[in-house]
Amino acid sequence: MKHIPAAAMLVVLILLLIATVLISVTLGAAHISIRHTVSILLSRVFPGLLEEGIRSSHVHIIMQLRIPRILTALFVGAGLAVSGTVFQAVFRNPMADPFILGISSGAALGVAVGLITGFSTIISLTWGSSIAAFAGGVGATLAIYLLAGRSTGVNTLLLAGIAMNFMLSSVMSLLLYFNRENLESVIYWNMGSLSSANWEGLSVLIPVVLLGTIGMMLFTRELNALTVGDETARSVGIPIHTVRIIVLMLATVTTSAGVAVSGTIGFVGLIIPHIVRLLIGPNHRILLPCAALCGACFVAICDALARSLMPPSEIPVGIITALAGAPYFIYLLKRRGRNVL
Amino acid sequence: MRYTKTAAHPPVVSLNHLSWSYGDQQILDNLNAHIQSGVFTAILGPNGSGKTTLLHLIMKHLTPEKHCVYLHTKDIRTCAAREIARMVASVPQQTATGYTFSVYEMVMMGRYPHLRRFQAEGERDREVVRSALEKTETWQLQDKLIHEISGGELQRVVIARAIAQEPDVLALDEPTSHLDPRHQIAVLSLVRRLIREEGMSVLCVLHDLNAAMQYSDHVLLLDGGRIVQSGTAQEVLTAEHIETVYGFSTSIISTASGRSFIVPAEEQYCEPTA
Repeated sequence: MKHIPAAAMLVVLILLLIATVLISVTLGAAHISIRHTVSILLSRVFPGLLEEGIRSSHVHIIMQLRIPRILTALFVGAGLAVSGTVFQAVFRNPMADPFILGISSGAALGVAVGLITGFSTIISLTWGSSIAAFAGGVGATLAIYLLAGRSTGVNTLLLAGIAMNFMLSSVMSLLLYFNRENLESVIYWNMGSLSSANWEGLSVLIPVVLLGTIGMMLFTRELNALTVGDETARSVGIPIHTVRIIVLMLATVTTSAGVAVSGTIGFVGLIIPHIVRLLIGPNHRILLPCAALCGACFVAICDALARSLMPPSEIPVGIITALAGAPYFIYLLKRRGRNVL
Repeated sequence: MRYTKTAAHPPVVSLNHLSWSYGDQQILDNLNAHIQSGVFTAILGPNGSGKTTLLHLIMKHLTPEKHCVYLHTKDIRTCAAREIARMVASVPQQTATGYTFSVYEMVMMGRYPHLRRFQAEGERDREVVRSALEKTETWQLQDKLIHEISGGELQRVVIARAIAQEPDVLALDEPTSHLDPRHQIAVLSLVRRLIREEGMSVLCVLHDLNAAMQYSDHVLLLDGGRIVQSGTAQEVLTAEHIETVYGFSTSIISTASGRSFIVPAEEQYCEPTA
């Protein structure tokens, strides 16, 4: 299959992103028209533009609830998709993904431990949870790298990751079992939900995802060579062990920042890199930005569905992404062997 | 004889009391050799004799002890990976084709050691890649994806990538072991042409003794982690040496054109059951 030109793909994705934001900002229990919404948004930049007759409660809904939530969805999605792309490149395996490999579970466990022990409230809930998530995620990544880093065989890696995922999930269940008073909120958060998105959370999420993504973008050549093979990467002068550790840590921290605000949202890091790679090819210089945009749109659309499918109740967005992602994962498993990487 | 011109050139790789072990298993034991510039040096030896380990040490995929491996006159321990990549380019046995890079993108990777992190590929890089594609006769394949081409074509593309690195030394690890006879000859002839036309030096691990006989100028014969013979192919590949190292008897047959071929001696054959 011939690949789509990168410029065309970028233009389509940016248009999709704008459309996604505009549509999802009008969705929700309160009916606020597109015109009023746009007026509210523009008035943040040009204060004179706020139309007469817009209720202040609507301004609040847009600026304090919907916009933070959409931004959170966009940055969580972008971070997960870029991280997934990097995981797939480093492990040279199309099924590597922070969720499947238990990295997200590690970060989630970190957050739960932080909450239960009260560590997270020492500084501030947002920063405390984020730091706890980084610690958990980094721990899980190191464990998997040590278990499977040397043998990049599909089976070793997936088994190590799945074992890790199960183990960490069990520890999580155990923790929750002994701390029942925290049960409901933690379980709901862990299923992946953006309902608690706020500006404070974004103040950690946006810089971490931006810096992490820029960091990974610095290694596009290294990632390209690593996907061809260790031999090739070494031949062209890449210190493979150092590069692997650096990019895996960047991907882990980026993923963990997302987990801290929205729990474990699965399969984004798996299917988005895959679809984008099929469309535009494996060159990371184009792949990473396209995956970021595509992941951002995907999570924002899934979250819009999560909010509007069964009003007034809300489905955790992780359930929607998993419903879309799991069948795709099975499809990939069936197609392996037929050169789908 | 091809080897005669080498005396004038300084060595590109020098091994100086090089030893290597994995844990307490000694793989290489006190190797001393000078790899001459502008010649085809074949590294031969039975499985487990340390050939591939030697190649890894010469590219610092494994880090040797101090003062043991020199590229030109520089201790390899003091060289960064990028610096080595501009001197030695490796062609592995097999290259995975999972991710669907195009042939052109693949060969452009050979320019990585010459590009700084924020530097885009320039006119000169494209020129080097074009020339590498032409030399390996893969120019017409440049837009194909690497899983769409045959194993023989892929190996030529990998060599094109190595050429694009503009190295002094091409290090090949059994480059023909997965190829059919026609492509084996094509790849080795290409390598010889690179020596003649580009002045490259070639270091090539081979299993095929006849390929070494036909294509190499110099042979290092390894056994049990030591260099047991070093010299021209005719000097090293005698029935006696092969018997000692590989443990089977051979006859050397000469053709009318003066080429020598190694064939297993008559008693090695088992009659096919009719």
